[in-house]
Amino acid sequence: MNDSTPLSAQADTAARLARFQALYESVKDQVRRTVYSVSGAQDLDDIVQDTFLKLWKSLDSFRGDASVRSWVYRVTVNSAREHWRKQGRRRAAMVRYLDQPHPQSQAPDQDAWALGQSVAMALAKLSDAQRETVTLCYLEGLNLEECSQVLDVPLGTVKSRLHSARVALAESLKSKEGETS
Amino acid sequence: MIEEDLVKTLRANRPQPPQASSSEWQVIAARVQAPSLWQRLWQPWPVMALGGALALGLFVVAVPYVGSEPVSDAALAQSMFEVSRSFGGGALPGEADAGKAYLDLLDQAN
Repeated sequence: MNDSTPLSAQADTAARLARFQALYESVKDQVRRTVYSVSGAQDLDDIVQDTFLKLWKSLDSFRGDASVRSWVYRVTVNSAREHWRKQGRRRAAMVRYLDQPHPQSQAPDQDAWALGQSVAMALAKLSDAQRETVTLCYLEGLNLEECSQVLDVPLGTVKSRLHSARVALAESLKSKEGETS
Repeated sequence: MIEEDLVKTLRANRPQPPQASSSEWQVIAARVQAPSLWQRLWQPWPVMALGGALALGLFVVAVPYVGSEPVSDAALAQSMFEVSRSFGGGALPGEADAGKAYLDLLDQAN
């Protein structure tokens, strides 16, 4: 914004920014959690910022057909996908995801730490599509219809992804349990 | 492991993201307000500079012809050839010959 911008336009922009800040405050944790679960720690801040830039751009075009929460999830997942498609290094990111020391590692409870590591590794082993579905349905608590809308896939696809992810997760966690006991 | 147990385990032990920087909102606010490339170019001085350059170019090209006699095709071709050569055009072997041959043809036609 510069001095030549008319006052009414400046006021509009300020009002829009205030509205956007309120949205930011209400969904920042949701966005950060989702990006982290879907794509790991690498470039986390960049993807979160890109997500908010996209939300800002589509703020006026959001017609309220979907809930704000679903809209934010959709933009978040798409931003993460787009980021890694551009970077072309998703696999490398997931390797780093595995190497990332999770906060549980600082917990005094060794069992909790081990379980946290197991969950992180089990999630990392899933395919991108499965991890997105598990993140939204299981970790974020969206119902199947919302999940299907956010991911823009049929309901049957969501169910089948969840089924295959459940099998893979249970197997990973069971084998980790076996290793530790 | 049944679904409910699995979901409980995942939720209770999901990886937690590192804390966001305290200046995250400032960074985002600055980025959303940054003018686009088009907005940056669409300022009075770049537009005036571009318009000025175009006007000057047109003046330089047009002035020699204002009030002059109508030029023949051959003279026009000759001058275009000279201009092209002065900008480095026609430097490739054969191109100059081809230009001259074209001028000769025009001379014959006139």
